[in-house]
Amino acid sequence: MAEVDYARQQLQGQERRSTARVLADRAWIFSGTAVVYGLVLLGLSVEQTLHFVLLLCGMVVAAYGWSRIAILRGRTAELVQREITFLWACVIVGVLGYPVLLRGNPYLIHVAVLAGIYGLMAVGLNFTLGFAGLLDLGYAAYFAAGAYTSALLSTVFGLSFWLTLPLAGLVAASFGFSVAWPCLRVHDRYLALVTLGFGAIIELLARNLRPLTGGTDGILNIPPPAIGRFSFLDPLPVGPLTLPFQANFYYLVVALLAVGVLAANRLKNSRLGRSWEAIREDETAAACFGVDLIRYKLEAFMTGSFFAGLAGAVFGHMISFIHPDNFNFPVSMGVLCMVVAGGMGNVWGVIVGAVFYVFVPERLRDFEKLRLLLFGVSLLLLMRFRPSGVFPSRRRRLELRGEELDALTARRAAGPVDLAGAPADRTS
Amino acid sequence: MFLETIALTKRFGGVQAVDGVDLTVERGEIVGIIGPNGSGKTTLFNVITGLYPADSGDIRFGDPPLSLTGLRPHQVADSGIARTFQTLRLFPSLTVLENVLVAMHGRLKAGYWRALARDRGFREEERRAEEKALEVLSFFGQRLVSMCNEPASILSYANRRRLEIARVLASEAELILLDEPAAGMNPSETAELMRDITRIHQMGRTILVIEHDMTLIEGVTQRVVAFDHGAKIAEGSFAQVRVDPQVIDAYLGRRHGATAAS
Repeated sequence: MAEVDYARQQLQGQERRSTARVLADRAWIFSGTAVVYGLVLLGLSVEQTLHFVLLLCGMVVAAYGWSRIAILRGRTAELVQREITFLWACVIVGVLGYPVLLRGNPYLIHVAVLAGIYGLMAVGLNFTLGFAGLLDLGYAAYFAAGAYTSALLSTVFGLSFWLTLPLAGLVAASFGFSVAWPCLRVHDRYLALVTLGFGAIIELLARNLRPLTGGTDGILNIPPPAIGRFSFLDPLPVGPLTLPFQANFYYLVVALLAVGVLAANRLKNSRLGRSWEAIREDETAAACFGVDLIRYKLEAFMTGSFFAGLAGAVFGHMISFIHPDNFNFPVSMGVLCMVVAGGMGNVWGVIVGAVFYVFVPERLRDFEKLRLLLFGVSLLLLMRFRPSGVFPSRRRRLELRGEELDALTARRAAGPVDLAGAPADRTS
Repeated sequence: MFLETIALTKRFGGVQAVDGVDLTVERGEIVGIIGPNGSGKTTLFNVITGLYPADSGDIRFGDPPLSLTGLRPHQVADSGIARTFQTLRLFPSLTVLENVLVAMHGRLKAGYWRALARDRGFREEERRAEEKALEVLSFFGQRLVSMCNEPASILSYANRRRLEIARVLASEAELILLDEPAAGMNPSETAELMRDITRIHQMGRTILVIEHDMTLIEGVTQRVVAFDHGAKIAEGSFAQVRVDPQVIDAYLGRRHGATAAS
C-alpha cells in the first residue's frame, strides 16, 4: 500500500551521510556537550554566590535565546536526531567522569548523590503523575517506607544492603498498592487530598511508632553497603586515582537512575505506557477501548512507589541515620516540583529538574533567608512562561504552540492528501 | 439476535432517561437511532457500553448471547463493542498513530514484564501493531496517514471525527456504536462519511448509528428506531418511521398531527 509505505518512511526518516559529514556532526555534538558540561562544572565551583547567580542567569538567557531562534533550534534538533548514539556516549562519559573531575571536592559529589536520590524519586513520580496523570501529594511516604524497611532489615536482622534494597522497593510498592486501592474511585483533587492525608499519616507513624521506627530519635548506625570486604565508606581506587568514598554512592545512584530511565522508556513505548497516557488524557474513552482503569492505575502507583523505595534505601544507607523529618510534606512537594518544573512525562526533564532543585539552593546558601522566596518566584515565572515544564515531552510541546501548529496543518492540508475528489477539510 | 436490550431502564433522579427499551439488532445490520435532543439516545449508548449501570432490564450481546449488565466499560469493550463519542474524546496529546494503538489494546498480549524485557516477541508484536494501525488509518486514504506522527489535537475537526472512527475500526469490535458521526460536518464531508460507513458495513461490521442528519439516516441505514423521552416510539424503514404520527409529534409538537396518538 502506497500510503502505508509513505508513512513508514515518515516514521523512520533515515538518510545516508558522507564520512566527512559524520565527523563534522560529531565534532559539533562533542563541543556542544563539552561547553554545557564545562559551564555546569564552572557553576558548581565558583566561590562567590553573585558569580553563580550571574552565570545561572546567563545560561538561562542563552538557552532561552537559542530556543527562540527557530533556525538554531531546528538545526540542533536535526543534529541530535542524526547523532543520537554519539550524544549518548558523550553524556555517559560526562556523567561517569563527574567524581573523577571533582575528586578534590567530596562535598559536591555528596550533593550530586542527593540529587540522584531525588532524581530517582522524580523518575518514580513521573510514572504516576507524568504518565498516568495521577496527582500524588504524599509521595514522601514511599520514600519513608523504603528507607525504614531497609534500615530496619539491616540494623535488626543484619541483612545485606543488596538484599534490603529490592525489599525496600517491594515494601514501598505494597504501600503504593494500599494507598491506591481505596483511592482509585476518586479523581483529580480528591485523589490529591487522599494521598496528602496518607503522606501525613506515614510521617506521624514514623514519629510516634517508637518501638518500630525509633520515633523522633530515628534509626542510627545504618551500615553502609559493601561488596565483599569493600565497604562503601572506603575510598574508591580507579586506576592511578583515588576517588573519595562519596563516589561509591554516586555510581550506585547513577546505576539505579539508569535502571529507572530504562524502565520508564520501555514501559512508555508499550501497551502499558500508551494505556497510562490514554488514562491521563481521557479515562472514559480509554475504558471504552478496553483499558482496565483500576489495574493500570494500580500498576502506575506501584511502579512509582517502587522507585521511591529504592531511593529511600540508598538515602538511609548513605546518611547512616534516618529521622521522620527526612520524609515530611516538603519532600513530597519538592519531588512534585521537580516533575512539574522539569516537564511531566519526560524522564530526562524530571531528572534535570531534580538536579536543579538540589544544586541551586545549595549554591545560594548565602541568601539563607531569601532562598525560599527566590525559589517561589522562579517557580511562578516558570509556570507563567513554560507551563508544561522546562523540558516538556515532545508531544506536549506541540500541543502548546498554537501558531506553529496551525501553519503546519495548513502546509499539510495543501499537500496531495486529497482522496476520492472530496474537498479539503476546513481547518478547525 | 446479535444485540438485544430487554426492558432496559436508566433513571437520573426523577427523569426516565432510558425507559423500558426493547431493542434488537441482527448481525450485519445498520440500524439508525433518531429522536429529539434529550430523548435518551446517547444515554442508551452509555448504558450499553457500561459507562452507566442500568437500573433494570438486561443487555445481551453476541453468539451465544452473554449478558452485559454489570460489566465495567473495559469488559464491554473486550466483548466486542466499540463506540465513538458525540463530543469528541480523542487522546489529544498522543499522536494519531498512538490514538489508534490505544484502541488496539485488546488485541495485544504483552504485559508489564514483557514490556520491560522488550524481548523479540514483544518487538514483533509492536511492529505488527504499528503496521496494522497504519493500515487502519489508510482507510481514510492519506488524510490520517500523513498526520500519523502529529498529536491528535492539531487535526482538523473532520479528521478528528475520522480518527474516532479509525479507533473503532482498530479495536476490531464486531458491533460499532456511532454517536452523531456527522455532527458539525459540511454536506460534502457528510457525503464522504456516508460512503465510509457503508464501507465499514461491507467489512461485515454491525453498526448502530445515532444521527440528526436525516440524509445520512436515509442513505445508510436499513432500519430506523425512533426515541422520545427515553422510550422507543417507532421502528421500521426510514420511509415508515418518517410518516409515523408519534415521530412527527415528537419532533414538531403535539398540535401538528390530527392523528396524534395518546
